[in-house]
Amino acid sequence: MATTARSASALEELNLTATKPRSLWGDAWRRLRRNKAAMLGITMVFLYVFIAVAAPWLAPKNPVTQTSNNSLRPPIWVTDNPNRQPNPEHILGTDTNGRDILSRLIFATRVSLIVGVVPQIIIVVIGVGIGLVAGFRGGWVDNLLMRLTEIVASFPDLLFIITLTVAFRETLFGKAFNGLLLIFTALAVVGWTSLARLVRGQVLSLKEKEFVEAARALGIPTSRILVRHILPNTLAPIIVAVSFSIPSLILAEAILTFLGVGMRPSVDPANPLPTSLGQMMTDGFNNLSSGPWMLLFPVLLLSTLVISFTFLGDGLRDALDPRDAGR
Amino acid sequence: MNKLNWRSSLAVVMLLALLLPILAACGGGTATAPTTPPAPEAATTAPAPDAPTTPPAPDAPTTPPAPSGGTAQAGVLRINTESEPDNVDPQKSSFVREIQFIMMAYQALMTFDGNMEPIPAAAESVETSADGLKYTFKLRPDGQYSDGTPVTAQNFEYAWRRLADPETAGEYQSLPCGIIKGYSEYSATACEGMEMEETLARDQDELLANFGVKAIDDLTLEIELVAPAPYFLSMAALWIGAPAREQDIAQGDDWWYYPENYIGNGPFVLTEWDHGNRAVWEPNPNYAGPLGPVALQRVEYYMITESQVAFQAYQNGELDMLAVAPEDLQAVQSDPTLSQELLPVSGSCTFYFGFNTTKAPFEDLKVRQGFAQAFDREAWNRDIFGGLGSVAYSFIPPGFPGYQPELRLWEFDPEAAKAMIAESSYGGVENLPEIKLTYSASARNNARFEWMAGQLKTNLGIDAVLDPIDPTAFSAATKDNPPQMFSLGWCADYPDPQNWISLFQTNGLLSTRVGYSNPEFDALVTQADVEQDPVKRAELYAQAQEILVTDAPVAFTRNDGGYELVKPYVQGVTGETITPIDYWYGFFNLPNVDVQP
Amino acid sequence: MTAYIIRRILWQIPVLVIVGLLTFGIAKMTPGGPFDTDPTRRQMSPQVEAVLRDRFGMDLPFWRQFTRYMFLDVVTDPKTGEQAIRWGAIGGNFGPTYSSRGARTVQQELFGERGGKPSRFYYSARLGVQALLFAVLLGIPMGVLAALKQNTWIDYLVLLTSTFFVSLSTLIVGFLLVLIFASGLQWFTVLPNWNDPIRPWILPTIALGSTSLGFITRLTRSSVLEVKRQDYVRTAQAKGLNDQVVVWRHMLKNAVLPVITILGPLSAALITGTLYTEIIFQVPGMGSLLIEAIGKRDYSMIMAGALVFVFFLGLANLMVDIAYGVVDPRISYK
Repeated sequence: MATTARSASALEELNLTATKPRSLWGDAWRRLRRNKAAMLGITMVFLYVFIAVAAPWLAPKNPVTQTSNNSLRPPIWVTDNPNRQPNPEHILGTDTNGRDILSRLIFATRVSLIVGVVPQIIIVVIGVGIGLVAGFRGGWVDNLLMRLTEIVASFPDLLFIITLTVAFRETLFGKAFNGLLLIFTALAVVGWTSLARLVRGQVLSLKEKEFVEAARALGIPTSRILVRHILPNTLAPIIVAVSFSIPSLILAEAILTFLGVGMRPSVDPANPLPTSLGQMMTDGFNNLSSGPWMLLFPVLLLSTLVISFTFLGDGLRDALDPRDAGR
Repeated sequence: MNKLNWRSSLAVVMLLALLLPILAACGGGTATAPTTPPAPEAATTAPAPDAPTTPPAPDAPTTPPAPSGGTAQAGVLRINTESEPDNVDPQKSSFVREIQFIMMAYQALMTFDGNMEPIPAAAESVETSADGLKYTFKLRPDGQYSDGTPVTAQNFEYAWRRLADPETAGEYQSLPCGIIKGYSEYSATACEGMEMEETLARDQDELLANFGVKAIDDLTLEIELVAPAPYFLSMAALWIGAPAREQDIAQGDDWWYYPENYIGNGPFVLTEWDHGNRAVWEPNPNYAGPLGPVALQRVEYYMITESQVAFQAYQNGELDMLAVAPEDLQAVQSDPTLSQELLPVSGSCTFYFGFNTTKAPFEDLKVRQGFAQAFDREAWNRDIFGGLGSVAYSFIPPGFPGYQPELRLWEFDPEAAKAMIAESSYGGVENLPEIKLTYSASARNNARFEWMAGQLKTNLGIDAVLDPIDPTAFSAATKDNPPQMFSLGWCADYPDPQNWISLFQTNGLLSTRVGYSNPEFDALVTQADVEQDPVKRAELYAQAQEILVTDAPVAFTRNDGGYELVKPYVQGVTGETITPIDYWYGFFNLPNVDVQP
Repeated sequence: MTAYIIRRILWQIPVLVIVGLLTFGIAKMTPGGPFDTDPTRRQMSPQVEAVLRDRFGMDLPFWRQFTRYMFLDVVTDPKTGEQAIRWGAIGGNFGPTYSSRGARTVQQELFGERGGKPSRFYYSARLGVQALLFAVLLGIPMGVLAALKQNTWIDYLVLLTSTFFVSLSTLIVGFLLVLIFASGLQWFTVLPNWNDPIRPWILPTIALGSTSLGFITRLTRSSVLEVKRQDYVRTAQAKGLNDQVVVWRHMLKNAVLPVITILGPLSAALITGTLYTEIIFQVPGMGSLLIEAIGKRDYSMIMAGALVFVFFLGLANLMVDIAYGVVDPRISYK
C-alpha cells in the first residue's frame, strides 16, 4: 500500500537528484507566483522594506523634532473637538511631545523590521542546527543538546530578558545602537529553544520515514541526507514558526519598552533608529484616553506587518514543499 | 465628543476582530462555544516541591461585605491605592502606600488639621516645657483599641522603644537620631553606625533608663529631647510612633499580614485584606480622636497598578476618587461629565535637576546658574504634564509652611543663560564637556526627558545625552556615585521647613548627592532648626532657601499635584478641606466625608 | 518507559542548579540592591542598611550565598549555641523576601494562603489552565476547519483573525476586552470580585488564551495541510473511507504532533503567571510578583520565579514527551 508507493517515489526522487540537480528554488518561485495571498504578502513586505530603507526621504518631518504647544493633535480628519484642532502639517496627528506621528511610524517600521529580523536570523541558525543534529543523531548527542535546550528554555524568558537587559544596560555593549544590540542578543539567546524542539520533533518522525531509510540504505552521506531530505521536509513548520516569531520579537521589544528597559530614547535628529513600534504602542497605551490615535496607528501598522509576513510564510511553505512538486 | 468617537471606532474595529474567530467557528459548526472550562483541576496540577499544598478552590464564598461592584453605595468610599504594600509594620515602613495603611488602623499621639498644623490625636493635650526640651502628652482617657482594650502611655513607650531598637532596623529608624534624648545611644546601629554585636553587648537596661520616652502613668507620656526641635510635634504625628501592641507583634514577623492581628486605635478597622487585590476597612467603633465620629460605613482600597485600568474603573462608577494621570487630563477636560468632577490638588513633592558640583562642568557656579534658567518650566509643565502640578523655582512646594512664591530667581531666559555660561571659566557653551542627563527609566519618563533634552538643544545648543537607568540602579547611583546631571525629587514627611531645607546641609541627605556645601547656609539652618520663635525661625529658613537657590546645586523644576477626580456624591472632599499631606484626599476631614449617591 | 521517566526527573536536578546559578549570578551582578528604594522618599540610613545586609547574609562570598540559598546552611542558634541544618530551595525553602524586609517567605507569598484566600499560585495556575484549554479547545478545531476549507473565505477569516491576535500583545487585547465588555457593554465590572467563582475569570481567560489561540490555530492548520498531502491519507481517501473518518483517524493524530510540542513551554509560561493579564484584570497571581521582584532586586523572589518556572517546564515537557509516545507509536523511549 502506501509504503510501496512512497519508496517508489523516493527512489524516483533520488534518481532525479543523482542525475540532474533539480532547481528547488526555481520551482518554488514558480509556485509562489501563482499564490495570490503570498504575492500580496511579498509586495507588502517589500513595501515595508522600502519604507524602512527610504525613511529619511519619505518622512515629512524629522521624527524627533518637538514643537512646543503642538502636543496631542489629532489626525487631520478629526475635527470635532473645538479644544484640540488638528494641525494641517501633521497628517496623522502628533504625540505628547508634539512630534509627527506619521514620520515616527515610518522610522519605527525600520526599527521594528530590524528587531523582527536580525535576532530571528540568529535564532534560526542556532535552533535549526541544534534541532536537526539532536533529532537525527539521537542518543547521547540528542540528550546533551536537549538538556542544553531545556536549560536555556527554562529561563523564564521575560524574567531572563529583563534581568539581562537591566544587568548589562549600563555597559558599553548595552548602549550600542540605542540599546538595540543588547535587546537582539537577549532575545536571540532565549528565543531559539522552541524552534529547536520543533525541528527535533519533526526530524524524529521524519527519520523513521521510508525515503530517509532508503537514502541511508543507498549510502548517501548523513550531511547530505540532512540537507537534501530532512531539512526541506522540516521547512514548513520552521517557516510557520518564524512567521510567528517575527511579530513576537517585535512585541517582546514593546514589552521591554513598557517595563522601561527597552530601546533608549533619542533626541538626536540624525539618529537613524530613533523609535520603534513597541515604543510608540507603549506611549499610545499610556495616552489611550487623550490620544487614541497614538495607539491605533502603530497597532494597525504592526498588524499589517505581521499579516504580510504570515501570508508570505504560508506561501513559501506551500511553494517549498517538495511533495507538491508535481502540482 | 472627539474622544468618544475615537474610542468607539477603535472599539468597533477591535470588537469585530474579536468576534470573527467565534463567527468563523460557528460557521463551520465544529467548535463549541468558548465556555469557561471547569477549573478545579488547576489546583491539582502538581504542587511545587515541598511547598505547602495549594488550597482548594474557594467553596461557597463566605463573602464578608457584599461586593459593591459597579454602583456606588451610600457610605462606601472606594479609592485606588495603586499597589500592594510590602510591609505595613508601623515601625518598619516608609513607603507612601504603606503609610496609607498604617494611618487607617492606628492613631499617633498627634495628627494634622486642615492647615497642616499638628493637633493632639491619641493625646488629649500636650505641654511643652519653656526650654523646648520636654513634651508631656496627656492621653485621652477614653482611648481604646478596636478590640476594646484601653490605649495607655505604655503602649506608646513600647512603640518608640521598638522604633529605636537596633533589632527592628526600620527604614525610618534614623529619623529621630539626635533629636530624642538617649535615642542615638540606644539605636547606635542606626545613628552612629556601630556594629550590631557591639551595640547589643552594651548594658541595655542602662540605655533604656536614659531613653527619652517614658510613661509616667497610664495616661501620661513624657518625651525628652536633646535640643529644642520646634517640628517635634509634627514628627509625633508620623506613623513611626503608631502604637502597635506587643501582643500583636508577638504573633510573628508577618503579624501585620493578617487583619486579626492588625488591631489599632485608628479611625478604621481592617476587616478584609485580599492581598494584591483589595483591602476593606470599617469604622472603629471604639475610636476616640479628632477624626471621629466617622460618617463612612466602609472604605475599600483597590490596588490597581495600571492607571488606564483605574481610569476605566472610575468612569464605570467602580471607584469614587482617582488621581488624574497627566496623559488622561485632556480626555477628562473635554468630557462634559468628567470635567465637572475635577478637584485641583497640590502635591507634596518638588522635583529638580541635580548638578553634581564635583563633576565638570557643574563645579562652576555660573554654569549651574546658566543651566537653571535654560529651560522653559512653564512649557514643560504645560506640554508634558498637561498643566498638572505647578512650576517650581524654589524647594518648598506651595501650600507648605516656608513656601516662598516670590523666590523666582531663575526664570526662563535663554539669552541670559548663554551669557552666564560665557562668563564662566569655560567661556562659552561650545567649550562645555558632554552633558549627560540621567534619570529613572520608564516609558513615561522617556518622553519627558526627550523634551527636556530638546530644550537644551534649542536654548543652549547643547546636544545632551539621555541616560535612562533602571529605577533601582538609579536610586543606588544617586547614593553611591551621583551622575553629572540627574533628575530627582523629594516628598514631604511632615509639613515643616526643617523637613526640606536641612536636607541640603553639608553631608545632608540630598546635599551629598550633588556634593553641595556652604558654611553660611549650614549656619542658618543649624540656627533655624532649634529656634523657638516661629517668626524668626521662618525668616532663617527663608534666608537659607535663598542661598540654596542662588548657589543652584540643583535647579528646581516642578511640584507634583494636579487634579483628583471626585464623584459628585462624595461629600467633604473639597478644595478647602484637603491638604497635600492627606493619606488620601479628605482624610484629615474624616468626620465630614461621606458618600451619598 | 518508567526508567525513562525516572532518568528525565533526575536530569531536572542539574538543570535546576544551573538555571539557579545563572539567575543568581545575573541578579547579583545587576546594579542596585533591594534597599535602594524610591529616591523621592527618605532612604534608609547606610547604618540600617548594613544591619539588614548582615541579616540577609548579603556580605558573604558569592558561592556561600548561592549554596546557602540553593542547598543548605548550618545555622547556629544565638541563644543555645546549637547548630542546625537549614535547607534551602531544594528543601522547598525559598527564603525570606527582601521587599517585606524578611517578614514573609517566598513560599508563603507564592503558595501560602493569603489570609483565608486562595494562594497566588492558585490564581495563576487556574487561569493558566483555563487559558490553555480555551486556546486548545478552540484553536485545534479552528485550525482543522481552516485547513479543510483551504483557500475559502472561512480559511482566510481564520487566518486573518488568528494572525491579528498574535500581533497584539495581551496587554492590548486585555484592555480592549475591558473597554468593550466591562466599560461598554457592562457585562462585567472593571474591578473583579474574586469571591465570585466564575464571572471574574472569563475575560482574563480569553485575554490570556488569545495569543496562544492564534498560535495553535495556525500551527494546526499548517500541520493538517501537511498531513493532508501525505500519501497514506490520499490512499485512505482513495480506498473510499469517508472524509470524517480520514480526518479524525488519520490526519488529526499526526497533525496534532507539532501542537503538542509547543504545549510544554506554553503551559509552563501560562501557569507561572502572566504579568499583563494580572495587571489589567487585577488578578492576585504570581506573575506580577515575580516581574516586580526584578525591579525591586528581591533576590529570593527572582530565584524562586526562575526555579518554579523550570520545575513546571520540566514537568510539562515530560508530559509532552510521554504524550508523543502515545500519539506516535513509532517514537520509542529507551
